[in-house]
Amino acid sequence: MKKLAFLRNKWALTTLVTLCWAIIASSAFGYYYYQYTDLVARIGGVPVPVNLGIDYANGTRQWFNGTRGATLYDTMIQAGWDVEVTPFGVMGFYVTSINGVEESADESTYWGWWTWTDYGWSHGGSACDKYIVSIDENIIWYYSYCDPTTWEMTPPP
Amino acid sequence: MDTRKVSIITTLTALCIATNYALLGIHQVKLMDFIVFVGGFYLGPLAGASIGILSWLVYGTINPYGFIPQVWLATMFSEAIYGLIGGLLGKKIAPTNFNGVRLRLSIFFGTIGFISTLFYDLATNVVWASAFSVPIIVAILCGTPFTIVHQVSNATIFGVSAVPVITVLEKLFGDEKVGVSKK
Repeated sequence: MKKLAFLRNKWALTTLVTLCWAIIASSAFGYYYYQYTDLVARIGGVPVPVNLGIDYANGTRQWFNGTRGATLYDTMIQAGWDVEVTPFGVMGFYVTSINGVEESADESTYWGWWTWTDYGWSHGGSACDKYIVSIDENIIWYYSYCDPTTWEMTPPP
Repeated sequence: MDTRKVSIITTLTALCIATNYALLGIHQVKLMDFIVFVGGFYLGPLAGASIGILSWLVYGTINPYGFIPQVWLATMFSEAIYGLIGGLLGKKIAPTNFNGVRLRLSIFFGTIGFISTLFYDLATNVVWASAFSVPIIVAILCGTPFTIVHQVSNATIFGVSAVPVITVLEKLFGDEKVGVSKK
């Protein structure tokens, strides 16, 4: 029985079973990720209409309703905005300036995008070129004050 | 190699081929891998590997899904993995009494079936990708659904059948075991 002593260790068996599960989960993840990226690459995204706004935090707010694009960045370009970005590889674009209004570290004002929800404006969670827009989504770019200690951005009014 | 051993190898090879044709309609579910494993477990790694190679030698050339020399060679030699692993395990645990550890041993054999199938599928996918000039990573990812079915079915077959079949073989052959576990 000494030869089968390792079977008495329940953790050895648990590790083996977990390893099998991890291989299946990782394989499935790789498969669906490949299928997703391949599909996006083939169709190049589907342009949909969104309501795109910009607020310069000086009382000027403009809306570009029905602007089409697959990503938020697409819609900004489609709206004819002059956008300056700093690319961060796979993380996407960081917007530094829109229509000549640049971010200011001295005044702690930065560009951030917000999407309208049932609970009000919700801060965008990803880079604008990585965010796939939904049909008739309300999105606004707001030149907002950012608290230098908490990095919390002021939402649009 | 004695006559008895050759006859068992031949019989198991025939069984592999017959079950492969019988299960043609069920993709990725085959008893061959398990038979090769059991053959290796009982007769030793070389005999087990030879069962795998001989089975694919026949089944691969008269294959309803087509014949591609590179893939055929890859499957032929990859199938030997089951026989080799079975043989190495047989050396370790063949003369041991399974009483009291049957369930745990079934789980262990199931995971062995799963992991050996992983190596088999990886090897054959790499060769398939090379044969058709497809990027290896794409071939592996696209083959994932088939691989998972193959791995899970083999884990189930190995887990459910290994202990009963080995126990029956033990009773049938007893002291007349051939190969590495000969007493």
